[in-house]
Amino acid sequence: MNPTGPRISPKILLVDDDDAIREMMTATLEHKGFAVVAVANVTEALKLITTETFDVLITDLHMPNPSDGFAVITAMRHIQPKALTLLVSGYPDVKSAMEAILLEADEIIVKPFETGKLADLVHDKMLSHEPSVSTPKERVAEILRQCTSLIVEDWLARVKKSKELSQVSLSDQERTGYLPKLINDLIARLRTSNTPGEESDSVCSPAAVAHGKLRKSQGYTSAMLVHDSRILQVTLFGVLQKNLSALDFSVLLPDVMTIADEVDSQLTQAMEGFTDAVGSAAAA
Amino acid sequence: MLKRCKTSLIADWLTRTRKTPELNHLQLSDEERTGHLPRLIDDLVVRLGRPKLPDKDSDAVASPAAVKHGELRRKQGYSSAMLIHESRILQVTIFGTLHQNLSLLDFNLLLPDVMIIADEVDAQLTQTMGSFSNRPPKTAKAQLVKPTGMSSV
Repeated sequence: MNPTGPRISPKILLVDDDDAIREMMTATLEHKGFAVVAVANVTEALKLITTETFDVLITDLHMPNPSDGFAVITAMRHIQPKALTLLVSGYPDVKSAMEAILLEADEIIVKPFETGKLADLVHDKMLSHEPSVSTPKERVAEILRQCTSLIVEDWLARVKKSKELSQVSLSDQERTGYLPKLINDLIARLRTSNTPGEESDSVCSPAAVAHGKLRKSQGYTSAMLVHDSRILQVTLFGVLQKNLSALDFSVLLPDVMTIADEVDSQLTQAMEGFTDAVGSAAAA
Repeated sequence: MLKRCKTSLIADWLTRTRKTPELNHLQLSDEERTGHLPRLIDDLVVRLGRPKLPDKDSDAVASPAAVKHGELRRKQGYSSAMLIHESRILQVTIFGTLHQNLSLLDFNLLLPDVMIIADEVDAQLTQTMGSFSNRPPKTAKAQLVKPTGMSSV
């Protein structure tokens, strides 16, 4: 765990709502030289994670609600990333069904297991645990910048599957032409925005207005314009989901708020351009 | 969480809306402004209860209430840009509510839920926009505080 070798009494946070199992595991681990803080629910665990430092987390998965343990694992991962995290589940198929959780948990222990071997497992895992190799966390703006082409491709694929939008015959370039600029505006906003949701932070975009006018000339309705934007938001959040392990969760929701605000701000401006085009056409 | 925070979410949305120059120049009662939100949030909660990521348009909730909302907003004197604006505020408010409850969130489910929220809110906006655009303008019920920026009253 550190350059001078394992600590004499590594500190374990043990979370399990089954009193008998919790007491048995506590006794076994303490007997093997670990310092154990045992709690029975998620609330107590989350409080301890924010107030004390642990070397290891061992948590049950269902306490009593499905996925309760994920919340504890996730909190520990983000608040104390150096800690070893072990998830205990009574479901034999958990390893295959919950592969995504391996992004967060270092090991999944399937019940039933021998408590005597648990201490050995923890000890072995601590010796081999190398938190320094964990994926460096990135801001949402950087992920979007790296994935701009992917976003455009994914958006286009979704649009082509949409009955409402695919009825207008357009080339790929005509459909996606406005996206790179919009994504760049979004990245710029994400890099500068400190207060999520402040309207004054949104980017004033003549390109968005022009896009609205162009969509009108291409035969879109106002509802289709909204639909375009709806698919963009889903695509953006989908890209973030695919890059979950690289995300800095501490700033994820403010960035999500900024994305929602900026995409809708650009949609508002596009709609103004669209409405102007409608007015011009009516006047002509 | 959204179910539990429904009342505060609506209050927060209303506060933000009142602070928005693009929306607050229309004189509407709180009920007139927020009347559509309880049903919309209920639809959102239903949608979030389905364990599926947005893939097809048909995943969204078909909402006669959203359609009526578009017709009502037209009568109240909204422009299409204002409709988007109030929806924009709703999304920011919802994500803000999630942020305020960060310690209770399961991060492994957060982004899939965020995708569903964005998809459903915009799906409702699409339906609202459809009815808003397809109906001829009727007598505006709301009174304008300032006459600037209005196109259809």
